[in-house]
Amino acid sequence: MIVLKLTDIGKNYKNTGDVLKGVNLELESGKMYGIMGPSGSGKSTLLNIIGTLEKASYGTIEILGNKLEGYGEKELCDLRAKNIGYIFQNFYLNPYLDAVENVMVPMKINHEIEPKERRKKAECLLKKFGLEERMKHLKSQMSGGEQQRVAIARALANDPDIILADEPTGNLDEDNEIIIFKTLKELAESGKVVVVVSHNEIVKEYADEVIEIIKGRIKA
Amino acid sequence: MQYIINKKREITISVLSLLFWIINLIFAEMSINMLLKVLTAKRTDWFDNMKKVQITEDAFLIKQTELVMETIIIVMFVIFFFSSLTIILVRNLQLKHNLSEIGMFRVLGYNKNRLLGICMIDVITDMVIALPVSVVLSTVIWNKLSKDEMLSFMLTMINDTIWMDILSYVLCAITMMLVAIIHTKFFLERSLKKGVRYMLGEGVA
Ligand SMILES: Nc1ncnc2c1ncn2[C@@H]1O[C@H](COP(=O)(O)OP(=O)(O)O)[C@@H](O)[C@H]1O
Ligand SMILES: [Mg+2]
Repeated sequence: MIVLKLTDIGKNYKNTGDVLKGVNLELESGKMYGIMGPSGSGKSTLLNIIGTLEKASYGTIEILGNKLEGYGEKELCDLRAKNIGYIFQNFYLNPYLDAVENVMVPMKINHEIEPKERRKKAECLLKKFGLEERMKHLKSQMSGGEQQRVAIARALANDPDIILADEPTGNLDEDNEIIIFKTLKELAESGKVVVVVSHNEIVKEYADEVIEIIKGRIKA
Repeated sequence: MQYIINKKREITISVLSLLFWIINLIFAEMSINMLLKVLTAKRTDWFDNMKKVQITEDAFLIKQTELVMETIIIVMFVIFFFSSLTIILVRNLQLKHNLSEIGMFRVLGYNKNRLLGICMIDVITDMVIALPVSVVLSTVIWNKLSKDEMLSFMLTMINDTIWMDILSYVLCAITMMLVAIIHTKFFLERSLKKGVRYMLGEGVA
């Protein structure tokens, strides 16, 4: 099933000009996509447009059959909350919350999960990623690899169809890198669309499809 | 924003900001009270009494007394503004603490109104709790200045001075609430934008 459809997407900034040009993409559920390309080629910009964090200058995006034209701030937030899970290079865990609470943050605005269920669900997700010993730990008490696994659990909190990861292993050692890629691969196999931006050649081993971007254009 | 989940931290922060509100409101109430008293001096005998004390001295002393009064009022107002700023800053510092945190809330689908709402509820809750406490405290402090007034405060509930106090208190409370709300709105919107940009790897502009 096609979950994401980008038609003739472009992005330009006042001071940097064209960053993306004529991008056409169809992303299917159950597949892991790797986005590769030199630094500054527009990988993050593309991911942010897919993730509705940035607006494209032109072109249309369809997510789960909905065209995003005319979507306001509120609709975009709701869409993100329900359907998109984000993973960043720097993890961005809230330093004041422990692992479980961090995973609960997205559930707070999801009325489909009973308040009483939230903690249980968060603990369940953390266990799945081997973090049963880290439930009550703060960001400062966890290693990079552990933080990123908490961040993945948080991205999965509302069971989204789309997982977007921008250089998720950029701050991790090789062992953790493999754990993260394996985890992302499993998520794709479970039926989600997983899009991973990475410099690392290792992404080619895991991705079902590799999309190469050079100077804002997709290489055929 | 972190305290939306952690109850213990929420309570600590609320107690702290409550304290700030109280201090703030006492200052505000006192300064507005003073201003009102001076403004209405012509109609009450308060200022006349002040003058009577000095009338035995020369005119220079009267002028000097007025000058001192004005200075006090100005100083009080400065304190009032600084303390309101302090409370607003302290309230918002929790948000400012880490811009990327706010950005992350946005990424996770918290819309602007939702974030704003949490802040507003916070500010208003503090107000409502702080109101009665600071009315009592500030009135007591104000009336401590003279034993007679203290007595009259105890004995007669319907008294011009008290109504004046209440009026000035309500005035300053409303002003401060407005300032806090406006500030929160602008501050939050700005940090939301900055926060998302920060998350996207552009650093804080
Ligand atoms: N907010 C912005 N304003 C101006 N230029 C930007 C902005 N964001 C990104 N760019 C530019 O867009 C280009 C692509 O950036 P990015 O998508 O982050 O590249 P990548 O992730 O592939 O390294 C870069 O040249 C960058 O300077
Ligand atoms: Mg990038």
